[in-house]
Amino acid sequence: MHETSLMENILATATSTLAPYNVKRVNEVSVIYGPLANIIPSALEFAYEALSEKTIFAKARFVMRRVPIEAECLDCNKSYESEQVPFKCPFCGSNRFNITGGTDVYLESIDFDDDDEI
Amino acid sequence: MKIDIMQDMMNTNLAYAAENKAAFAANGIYAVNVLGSPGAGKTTLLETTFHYLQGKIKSAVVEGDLATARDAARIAACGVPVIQINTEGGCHLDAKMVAKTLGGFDLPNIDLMVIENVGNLVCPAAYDLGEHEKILVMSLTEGGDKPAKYPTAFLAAAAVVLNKFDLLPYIGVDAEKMKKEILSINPQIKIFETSCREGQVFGVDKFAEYLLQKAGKNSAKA
Repeated sequence: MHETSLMENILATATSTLAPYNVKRVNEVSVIYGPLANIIPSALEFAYEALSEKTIFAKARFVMRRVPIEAECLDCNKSYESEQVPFKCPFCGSNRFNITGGTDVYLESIDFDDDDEI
Repeated sequence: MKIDIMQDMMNTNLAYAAENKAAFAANGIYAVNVLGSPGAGKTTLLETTFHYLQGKIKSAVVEGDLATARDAARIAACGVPVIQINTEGGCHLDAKMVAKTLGGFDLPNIDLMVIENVGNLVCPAAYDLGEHEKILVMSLTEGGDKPAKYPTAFLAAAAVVLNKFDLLPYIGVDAEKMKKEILSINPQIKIFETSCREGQVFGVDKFAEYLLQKAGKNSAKA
């Protein structure tokens, strides 16, 4: 339920990223998230709709992409990906691990038309 | 045109978490982030634990709740310095909220900082407050099926305290199965079994000993 504050940060970061450009239209805002970020995609989508209103992002597509959990085996030191718990190393079968990814939400990219483009 | 950004949207929180971490390190403080559902027994566990830690280690508490200073009053009654945060609806503590409280403590005089999070098994797991470890408190009455339903909290925690063991004879929960399930999610997690009920307290001494060791102090030396 912290999707709103996340979206405030996403839109603030997007706004400052676009500041140097003459933006005519924003086409797409793209976000990636891990299964362990504890976010509800529909709530993030809702927050986008609500908070982008009357901004340059209002008409842009909001795209979310889920990435797998990344873990590092504590026994054979190899890295692997997993969609869900419990984790088991596909190389040695160990269930001892360190989580190395899949806990975050990233603003991945912004696609836009700027005035200087033909 | 397309701009690749790839920026962590928790970055503001992580920056404050790093500040808190530095403040803890500079003052030799071991910090724990205690999370669990409302009513799991977090505050009662702390009250009981401080009874054991008294005179052995200098503790302090940051209390997080949506409203009221009830928990802070209970901790203060244990003789432990405490600052209450009211999130006014916020479902978790973030690192900035904690950073703001640190100025109110006599940090050089603290060995163990306990941050009691807002009662919630979901959101607090995603926020680093700069702590050394997260400790999860879960009561048996919440049901044996809960660990698998809330895996992120169990993955994030270094230890779990299964509380309200005094109620085991009255409820249909298979505690052994529950422990097995917790270990299947996170095989490295340390499990404590406690009861904090007056007259039936047990297991809290072991948990207190764990905190003493983690904070770099051995009770035998005190």
